[in-house]
Amino acid sequence: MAFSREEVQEALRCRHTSVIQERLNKGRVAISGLGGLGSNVASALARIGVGHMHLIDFDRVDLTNLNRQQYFMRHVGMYKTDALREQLLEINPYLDIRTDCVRVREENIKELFAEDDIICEAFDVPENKAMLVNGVLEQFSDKIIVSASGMAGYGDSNTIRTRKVAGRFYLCGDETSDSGTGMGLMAPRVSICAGHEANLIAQLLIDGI
Amino acid sequence: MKGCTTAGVFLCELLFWSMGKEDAMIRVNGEEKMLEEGTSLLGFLEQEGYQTARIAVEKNGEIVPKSRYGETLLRDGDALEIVSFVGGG
Repeated sequence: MAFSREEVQEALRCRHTSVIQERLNKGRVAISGLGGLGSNVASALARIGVGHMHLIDFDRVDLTNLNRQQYFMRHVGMYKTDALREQLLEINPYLDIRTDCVRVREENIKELFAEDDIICEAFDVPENKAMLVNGVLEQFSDKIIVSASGMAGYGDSNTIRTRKVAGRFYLCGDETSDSGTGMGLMAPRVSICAGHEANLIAQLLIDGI
Repeated sequence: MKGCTTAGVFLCELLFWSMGKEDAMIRVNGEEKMLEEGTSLLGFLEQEGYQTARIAVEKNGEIVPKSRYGETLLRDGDALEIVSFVGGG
């Protein structure tokens, strides 16, 4: 390894200050769905050194994913969990990264997310988004869910926003731009929404709720 | 005397009938909505055209489990926050 754990930590502390880095180091974040949202959220959190990351997706990288998802040609055909883990470790090899190549269902939420403090919903299909948000809020009393809805197309960047819906439920997106209405998902706007999710997670880790 | 009793019964029935149909004012995503007191959440969602598989509902700040939409009754002063998810990620 070119750089030691101490060198990497020193570089992060130099950028973020020690107090903030300590909080990021302790972060336990699950990213559920590793597409345009999840792969970008995970990359941002890995860069700031979020210590414990849990990547969940059942799918493989497809050539059509490359218009917005954080993968390269060499990853096509690989499981997204493996492809993303490989990249995150290139950013910071000292991160604790757990992967689960499974489909999230109401029945496995309790077991799957038991160790995570913050859960980032980054699915594509609206029924799956609703299932995870409802499942987390119903089955846990303390975990935070950060969800996203509405980021298709290339419309106004500034309609994408972050809001606290209530309690432990936060939502990012414009809440209207549906990918099913002939508006494709494109890297710029999906990345904006992923940035909203990642920045909110950083705020929650650093400043608490 | 008999007339008075009949009138009394009539008034009671009128009162009972109006109580049964009592209106309730609730807030849905910040907007006021008038509905019948005791309408079920499921009934309200269906009436408003929500796709229940794509939503999350908080009532007075608490998540309402999907399995309880039918038995959750809406009362005057309740506040609902309904999130309808759209596709994309």
